[in-house]
Amino acid sequence: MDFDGIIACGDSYTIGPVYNSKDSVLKHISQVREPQNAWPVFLAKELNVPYVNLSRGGASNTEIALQPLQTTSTFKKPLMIFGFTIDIRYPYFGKDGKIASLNGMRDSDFELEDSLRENQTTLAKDFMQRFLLPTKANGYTGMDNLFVESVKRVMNYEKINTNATVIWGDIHSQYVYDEHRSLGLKKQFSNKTMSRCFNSVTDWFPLQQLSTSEDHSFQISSTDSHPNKYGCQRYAEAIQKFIASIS
Amino acid sequence: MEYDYLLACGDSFTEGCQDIIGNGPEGTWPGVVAEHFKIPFSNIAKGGASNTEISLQPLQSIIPEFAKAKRPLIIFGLTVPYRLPYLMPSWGIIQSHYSILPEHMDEGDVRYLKKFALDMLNTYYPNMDDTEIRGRSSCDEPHDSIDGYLFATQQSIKIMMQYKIINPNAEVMWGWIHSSMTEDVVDTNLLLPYRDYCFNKHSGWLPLQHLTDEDEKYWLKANDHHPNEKGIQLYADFFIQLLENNNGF
Repeated sequence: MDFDGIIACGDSYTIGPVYNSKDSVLKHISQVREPQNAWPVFLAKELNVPYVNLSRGGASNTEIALQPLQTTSTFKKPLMIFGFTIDIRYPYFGKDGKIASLNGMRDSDFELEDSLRENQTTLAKDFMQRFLLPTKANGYTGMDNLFVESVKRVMNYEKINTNATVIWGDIHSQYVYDEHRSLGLKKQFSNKTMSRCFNSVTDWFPLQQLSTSEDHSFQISSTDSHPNKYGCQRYAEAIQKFIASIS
Repeated sequence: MEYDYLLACGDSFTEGCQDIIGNGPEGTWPGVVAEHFKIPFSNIAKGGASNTEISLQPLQSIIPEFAKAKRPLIIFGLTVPYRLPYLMPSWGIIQSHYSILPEHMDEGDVRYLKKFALDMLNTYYPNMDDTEIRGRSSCDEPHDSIDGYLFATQQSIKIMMQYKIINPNAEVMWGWIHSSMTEDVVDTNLLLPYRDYCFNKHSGWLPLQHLTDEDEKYWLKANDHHPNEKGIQLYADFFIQLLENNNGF
């Protein structure tokens, strides 16, 4: 595989470890970020190429698929890696014209979101929660369809720039010990699209499984399942293994 | 003309009302321009598209032959600001409700869309009543501030320019074609820092619709200001002249 830089896209599982301050007073408002320990950093180091990390905590799959449109990198032959996330994040276009994502779809998520909004307006919960139901069009939920379209969209980057290589897969998941996507859903993708899914090196489990263990040694803490430095190293190793398998 | 492929994005003014005129993609202004220069083209514009949707059309469409192009040109034809982009549950794609003006809010065929649109509208224009929203949305009176949907348009233009970075061999042009203010200059606040790539600088900073709005003979039919075949030729002539003169830059 021939590439001159990595463009990494994803959510908080790609952005790098974040620790709350140990100070009992500051712990809710102060965070220590370790972007230097994000998996794209380890991967770039191993492959000896530069990288940009465009991920954003809380991003939905739709938003992740559009993150390359924010890049300022000038790689001629980029390796574009998309680390997808849990489905229950609703993407919408905010008043700044940028795509944003609602963190969850439960009533409490909407209440929290509404309380955070300056003008106390409510999001259209009735409309958005319909995405959790199967659609008449194909039987899949609206969120399933958002994911499928997101994957198709990321593969289109190769059509816009024929020198780009796209790989993708699930990293963050609500089903850590299950095959994240149903066989039926995956049948909506072409063979080429499926051949670019790095979950093939983890038996189709999301990478989050690599950082989830009983002793929590690969995650931030026993109550925070985000990967720590060592978990991120595991993610990088898995993706490197995948890259080697298709090169 | 240095380009070897034309990709056109936009709304119905670029899509060319093919179902009514009946000349297929070749009869739209991108088709006429491509035929003039004997290059392949793809017209992926869609009627009713918002500027946000237009900016994302290259990622949501099948673009035949684009991958073979060594020096493609992407032209984005912008539209009116008051269109609402939203995600479609059935297919997961980004599409648009064609107007958030109050009289058009009952015409959506998606259940719950009205409430969604109204809620989102409130986020764009907080604390404004219906009259104020209408004034801002219809752009009857030019205003200095950039807010609400103009933010969305500005963000869309940024995304359009990003395709030059995604594909360093591609060239990008953008500008207004469809507008509710055909006799007014486009909002120059929105142009910077991308005005060099805006084709409206060659149309006196007027949206291209001004070329066809003056005379009914260019309209699709009475009270329908979409360009007919003659109008489409006017738009095509504009781009042909532009591309023959220093490729528009």
